Amino acid sequence: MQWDKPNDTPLNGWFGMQEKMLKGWWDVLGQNNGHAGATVQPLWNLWTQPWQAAGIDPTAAFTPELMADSMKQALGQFMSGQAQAQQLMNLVNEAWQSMLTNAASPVEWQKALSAFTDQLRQQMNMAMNSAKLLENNAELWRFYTTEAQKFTQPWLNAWGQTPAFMSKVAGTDQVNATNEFMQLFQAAYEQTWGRALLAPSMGLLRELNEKVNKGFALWLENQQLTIAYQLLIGEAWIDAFQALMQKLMSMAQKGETLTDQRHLLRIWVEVADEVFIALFHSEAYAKTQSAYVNSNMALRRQQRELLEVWLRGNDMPTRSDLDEAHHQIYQLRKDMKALKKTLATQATTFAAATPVSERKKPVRPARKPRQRVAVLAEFNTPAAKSDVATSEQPQ
Amino acid sequence: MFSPLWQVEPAKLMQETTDLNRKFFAGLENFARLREEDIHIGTAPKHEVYREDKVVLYRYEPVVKKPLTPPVLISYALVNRPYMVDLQEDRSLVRNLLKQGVDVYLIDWGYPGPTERWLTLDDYINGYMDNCVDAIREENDLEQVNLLGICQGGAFSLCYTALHPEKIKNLITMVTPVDYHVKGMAGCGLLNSWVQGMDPDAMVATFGNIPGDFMNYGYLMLRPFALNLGKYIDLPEIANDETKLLNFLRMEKWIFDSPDQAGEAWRHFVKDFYQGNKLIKGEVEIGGRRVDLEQITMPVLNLYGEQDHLVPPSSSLALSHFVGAKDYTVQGFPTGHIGMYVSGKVQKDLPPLIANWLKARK
Repeated sequence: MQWDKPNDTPLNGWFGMQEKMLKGWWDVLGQNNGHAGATVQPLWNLWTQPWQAAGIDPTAAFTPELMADSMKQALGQFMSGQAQAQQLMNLVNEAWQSMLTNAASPVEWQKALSAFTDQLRQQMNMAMNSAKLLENNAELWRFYTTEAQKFTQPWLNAWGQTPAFMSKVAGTDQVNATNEFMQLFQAAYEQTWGRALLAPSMGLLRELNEKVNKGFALWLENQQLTIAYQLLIGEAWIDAFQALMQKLMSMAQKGETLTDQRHLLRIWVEVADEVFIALFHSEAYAKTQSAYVNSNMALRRQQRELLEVWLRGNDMPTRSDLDEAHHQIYQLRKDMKALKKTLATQATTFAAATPVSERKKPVRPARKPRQRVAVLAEFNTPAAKSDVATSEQPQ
Repeated sequence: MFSPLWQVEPAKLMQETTDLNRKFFAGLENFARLREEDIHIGTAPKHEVYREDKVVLYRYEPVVKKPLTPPVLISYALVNRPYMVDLQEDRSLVRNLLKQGVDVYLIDWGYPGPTERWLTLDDYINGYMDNCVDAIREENDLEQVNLLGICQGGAFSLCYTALHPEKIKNLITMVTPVDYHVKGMAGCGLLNSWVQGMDPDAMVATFGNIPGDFMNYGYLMLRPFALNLGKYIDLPEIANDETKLLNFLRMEKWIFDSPDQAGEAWRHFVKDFYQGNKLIKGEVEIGGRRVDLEQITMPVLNLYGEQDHLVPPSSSLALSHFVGAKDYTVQGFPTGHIGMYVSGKVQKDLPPLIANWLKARK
């Protein structure tokens, strides 16, 4: 996730993380970990590959645009599950081989498993280390200048294009001159002010700079919380895998065997859920997840603020403008309902107070007016207007 | 010391591969042929009785000459769509209640859009819900109706009944959270735990309406492997059977057809119910009035799932300590949250139980 790209869909944030948790960790854990390949593997490939290959992109073969969304989703989920199953098979086989090779007693297989999972953990840490670099100050500075300039560039482009466009429209000879001026300005900006964004802001763009600075700080915080969250999840993956191998070993010791790939998957689902649910119940997880989600929210709001600056500068409506309009519609609708209710109540009261002989029509039950509550849009229809008019008149 | 982990003979392997291939390709044909409109849901005949903004009140066509009075109004949760109570013809709480002679109404809360972002609990409970109740009272010329609240709709029903007890004859709550701080069995009560540290104000300020997909992902993470992987493992087994596949897809559709949550109402619900657990403390305020569960003095039937991982049984069972009802009945069913609507066994037992309970309290 880049800090200057709107975090406008949850898939970029929490969802993306969850998705990665369910899919991507296999890639990290499944990398070459120094063990000899599993001898059983080809057997399973023979079993799974033909139909897996045939169904690898069923949507392409079967008119995807007409397929029901629910079906696409289910099918995609199934295929994804098969890919995960294959990765699981690979990893289990490697671990199993490692345990068979290195263990000669019930005590030693546990050591072998422990060594294997330690190796997985190391791999995971290596994968995380690149992200941890963010904590390095020098790297932060580099990120800052690079990312901040990415944001300012569109502003400057727009700024530069507007006068050029106006000059073209006017048909004068000043086009080139204006462009040169703007390019000069831009170059000067990038070489000087653009490099000193961390300094306290001054002048015309002071407020914008503050927004940019805050956005960057929130992005940094988000990166750090992302790492913290990933570490928790990564540990759980390794714990889950260790639990799976222990379960398989326990089965083997009892003389039980795996009958097919789905058998293994069912065991994995049961064992992994147990480990993850235990993690999810922990205070550490609740705290980390909350901090991560809250950070995503803050970052997204700040990004929106920046986006709104740009939108206003280009005479386009912002989310805040739309919110304001929608709020007014909501309030008007509510006021209208209250008004109609009051009118109806008054009409009923008036009707009840009128002697029967003077009434032109039978009195309606007191509850009737409630049904006449109408939405704002309906109020403008002739029917709605006559409804209110009727309510106002004694009946 | 070790027996072989894998015990697959080549002949057996080839047989399994062939079988699976056959099922898989037969399933693909179904996948290619079926369309979204083939997934029929909510098919029990009904007609619109009342409409306000995006909220619609439906009345199901009775299947007996003289249905029970007063009618039952079903208030479903804002989360997910209410057609869960009529998911498919042979798994339909509504159809089964109709067969028992119950006169059934249902509130469809609709899909909130940006204009609904400011809807409050007051709007939902003292506005829409109250107007629906009045519409039923008027249509049937009755003073009171029966109310059946499900899940969050049950919490709404508790609030509504406490605020307007004179309009409710009997109250039925189904898989309804009451105590939001209980600890349950493994996997239970996770929502309660996760919500504690979250900042609802920040989420509403960010999203406006809370996206249904965001909520859904939270639910999937309650049992991440079973719900994201486990339930799809056996898809090839049913994919070549159109009926079974459609049943599976109906459930998929319901799970992922999630309306966004109106921001203000969601904020209030999360802060006061989930975080503050104020319902049982008598501290929830709706429309300037305090919700006092002691005001619920009419007969109450409390139904819960014994393996419910979304609403722990202990959360529902807490109701008995807080309502003022002397006629209080509680009944558990050996199923989970969703099983309450679709389990064959529950659907055999639950509708007659509700109907008989109501008949005894006409």
